[in-house]
Amino acid sequence: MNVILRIAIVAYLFNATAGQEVPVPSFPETVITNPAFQEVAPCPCDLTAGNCDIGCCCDMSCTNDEKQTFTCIPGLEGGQKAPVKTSHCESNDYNKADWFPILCVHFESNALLGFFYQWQQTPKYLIQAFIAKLSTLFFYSYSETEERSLFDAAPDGFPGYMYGVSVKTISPSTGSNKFGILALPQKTLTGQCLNTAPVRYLTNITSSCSFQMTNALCSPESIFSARFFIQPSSNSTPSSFNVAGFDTTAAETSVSYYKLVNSASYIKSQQSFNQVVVPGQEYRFASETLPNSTCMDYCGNDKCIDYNAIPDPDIIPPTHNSSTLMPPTLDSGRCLNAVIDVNYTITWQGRTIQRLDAVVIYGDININDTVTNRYQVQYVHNYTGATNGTADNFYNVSESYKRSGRTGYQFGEPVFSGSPVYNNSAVPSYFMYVNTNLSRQMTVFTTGADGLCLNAMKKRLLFGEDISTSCSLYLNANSLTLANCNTLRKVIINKLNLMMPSEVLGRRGYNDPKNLNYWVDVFREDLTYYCIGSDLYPTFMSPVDNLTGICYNMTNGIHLDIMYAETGRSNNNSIYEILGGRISYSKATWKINCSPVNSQCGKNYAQPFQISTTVRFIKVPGNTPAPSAIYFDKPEEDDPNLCPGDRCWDNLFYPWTEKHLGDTINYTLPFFLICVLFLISYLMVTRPWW
Amino acid sequence: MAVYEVFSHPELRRYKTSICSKASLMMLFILALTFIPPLFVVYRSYGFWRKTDYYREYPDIHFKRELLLVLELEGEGNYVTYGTFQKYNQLQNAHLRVPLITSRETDTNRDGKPDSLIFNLEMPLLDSENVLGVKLILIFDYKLHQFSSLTMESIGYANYDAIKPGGKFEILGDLRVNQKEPIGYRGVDNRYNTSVIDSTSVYAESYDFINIFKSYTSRNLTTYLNAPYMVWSTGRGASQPFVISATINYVEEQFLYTPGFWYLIKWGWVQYVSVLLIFLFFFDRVKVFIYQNQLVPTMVEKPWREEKMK
Repeated sequence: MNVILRIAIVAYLFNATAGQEVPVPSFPETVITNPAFQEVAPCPCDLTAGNCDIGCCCDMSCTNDEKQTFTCIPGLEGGQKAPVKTSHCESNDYNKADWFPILCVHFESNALLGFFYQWQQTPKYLIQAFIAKLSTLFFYSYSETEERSLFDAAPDGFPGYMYGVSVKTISPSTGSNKFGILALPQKTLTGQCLNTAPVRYLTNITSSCSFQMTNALCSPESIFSARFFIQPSSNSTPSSFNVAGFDTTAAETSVSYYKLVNSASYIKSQQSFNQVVVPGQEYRFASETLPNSTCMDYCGNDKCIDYNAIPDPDIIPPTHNSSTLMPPTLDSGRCLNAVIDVNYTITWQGRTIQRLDAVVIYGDININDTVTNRYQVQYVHNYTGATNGTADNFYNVSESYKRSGRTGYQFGEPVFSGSPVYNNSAVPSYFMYVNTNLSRQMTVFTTGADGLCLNAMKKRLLFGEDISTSCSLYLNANSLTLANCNTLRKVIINKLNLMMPSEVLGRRGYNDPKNLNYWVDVFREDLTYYCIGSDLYPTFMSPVDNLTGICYNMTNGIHLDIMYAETGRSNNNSIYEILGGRISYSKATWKINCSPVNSQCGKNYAQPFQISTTVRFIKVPGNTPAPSAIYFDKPEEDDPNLCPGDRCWDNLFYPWTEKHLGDTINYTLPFFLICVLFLISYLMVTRPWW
Repeated sequence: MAVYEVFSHPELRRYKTSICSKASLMMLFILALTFIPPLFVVYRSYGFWRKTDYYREYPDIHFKRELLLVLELEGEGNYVTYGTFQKYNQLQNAHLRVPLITSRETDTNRDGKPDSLIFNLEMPLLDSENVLGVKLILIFDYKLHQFSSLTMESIGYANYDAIKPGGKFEILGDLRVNQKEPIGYRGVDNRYNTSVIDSTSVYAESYDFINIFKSYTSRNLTTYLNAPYMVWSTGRGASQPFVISATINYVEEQFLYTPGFWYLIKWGWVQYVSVLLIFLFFFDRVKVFIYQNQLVPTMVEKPWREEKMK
């Protein structure tokens, strides 16, 4: 026999206006009998009706034969025994009270005691209490309560854009404007590309997505189609859309379409490293011309460098041909006019987008090639002349300019550096300005995948970021002969100094090039001694050391230390200033390693040698620190910020010091004394002890 | 006329006896009962001598700008590596690839100690080289000042193996300490201020991770990188480098230490006296009862003269 409890499921409809519930019983209620007088579940282990449950001896469905095949589940009527309480005198618990068995509890289980639960009312009669109880609980559900819309507006409720809000588009196709969100493919999750990720106001984007070109992707509706991106305002095809400038007014959009002659730089090459850097072959610098002898010092540096004559580095013009909007077309295993590069330049002012200039670049991609598409959004402020706060417009420019921080530097912003230019024709010569062209700035190597110095480029320094980079020279034994070593040393020193040519560093976030007070000198290690000091070169002395395949004292690295300090605070932000710089060089002995792999070490088999550039930022105190007066066993005992062993004299009255709650002693001491005063006067009046 | 207490003071009653008497024996017995049982009570109730104790300290951690990196590439035996150790790099030779490393340590709460390390590494790779795994050892300088003046070189190790070629590997975590035995309460502790990686060696076994970790884990104080949320991003584009980016927080830690002699005595004394006070109070009443009622015979010397009582 099995007892099946059926509990009435009652649905209630709530009348929203009256707040009264109308019970709609779905079927007649079963009244739960009072367990005080009638056993509700005489056999709890009887789980299935009409079947014998294994181990359940009270199951009436089990025959005597069946019962003999198993052992009964212990406990009350086959149920599971309740665990013995730890306070029980018979408890075997590991975590019994300390005073056990004193004060342990004896339990009496006797049916005559009659401790049964009272009969509970059905929820029907307790509906108000039930609802009141429900309102105190939290319920979680799988249903999505948020609105399914990507459309957002400025959080302050006013029309126009605010920082971070998505850029809207307007489609002029039908009578009523259709709104949308400007989107570009961006990376999300763990590097996957989301093709329609919203572009946010005043948030620059640089993203790239890799796709394997297929026949299906080469269609007018795919990510490779120019229709996927913004189209010129002049274009009024049904599918086109414009950028909303302010509220519902469209901003002017111009799109330039270009086509790459060669799209190799967008396609993942299948070259292996040995194809790029051929083993055994020599790779040196791109150009190793030293300055002519009258202008060259002992270390290969150019003494008579003319700062005014050095042009800015050439910007290579893109090799595209102009074109118009063309959907991608499939042509014998190639996808023609696939969009592989999109660049939006958005001009903004206040809450308005004034115009959008887009550059869309096509390329012809082979089917099955892996192509990396590049997407970029840049915001340009429409600068309308000088306003307040441009007292530091040192260059008298009329467009917006970028500081590395107001007053002091901000971390992660470019460091200003350059070389002062003097008018040497005048007598006496005088300072003119600081040349801050890229060629005169502090930089470090940045290499491609080959790591070669041959193809290394320059990378500017960012404030606070320590950098370490290297590039490789592949040299063979013939290059490491005595005569070649000296030339090579000069070439390397020349190249290293060209990476870090600056003589001054900008102290602040924006520096006046005409005022030397804004700049601090960089101290440079004098290498002349190493370049001419023949006593340092054993090779000059001993013919034994005059070997091929080894170069002593090769300068293989330039290291810049920049000292900066917190020189003040403004609005609780630290003002960081650069206080000094120092350049040092590292030297090493370069030697061809002979091993079975490159046993041709006496011949023309080249091996890699690294030359490195590193930058280190060192924080120094803003003021000259007070000298230590007393000698301590441990140096930190002199440091007021540290309190070794928590027993320094400064912390003797810790609750009243600034370290506890940040209140100064000027505040805490009078407060404490007033409290003492009140206490004394209270005791004087009440006199509790006499 | 109402009577009131105008003044009061206690009197001293003296009980005298010879040395060899019941009263002396009783006194000795009570004294022993007063002073010795509290010691047993506090000792047997666990934790009388505070042999070890905990304290919290914000360690002074600096990234030493030293690292050892191995990038596992697709294909059997393919890898590129870089270490900030000249000899290691020379040893690797063909597998060496030099990355661009930038790092910065921030101090947001301005206590003079770095709070986190922001680390970025860009390894230039060819498009045909697919990264399937990263092993990165970062080397830190770890200093404690509060009790033991401890300086050690420690490491943070990040290891990830993926099935899809990666473009970026992001490490977000804390540098935590792993302590096996208590540190001292004073003195300079330079036991572990030794190089984790022997950069002077030119032998392959010195750079074997097993050997490096074997000697490192045998230390009693080590650090580890607690970064359960490492993100492996796929989709490295054409001519893009493989990027490892890490934000490692330096956190305040709880250290176990062996307190000094006076600290032991101080806390022993505090516990003993607090129990002793109860015993003193109780046995004082017992003594008063015994001697007042002359349960043991003594000569009572009262502070007032007998004749006044007559």
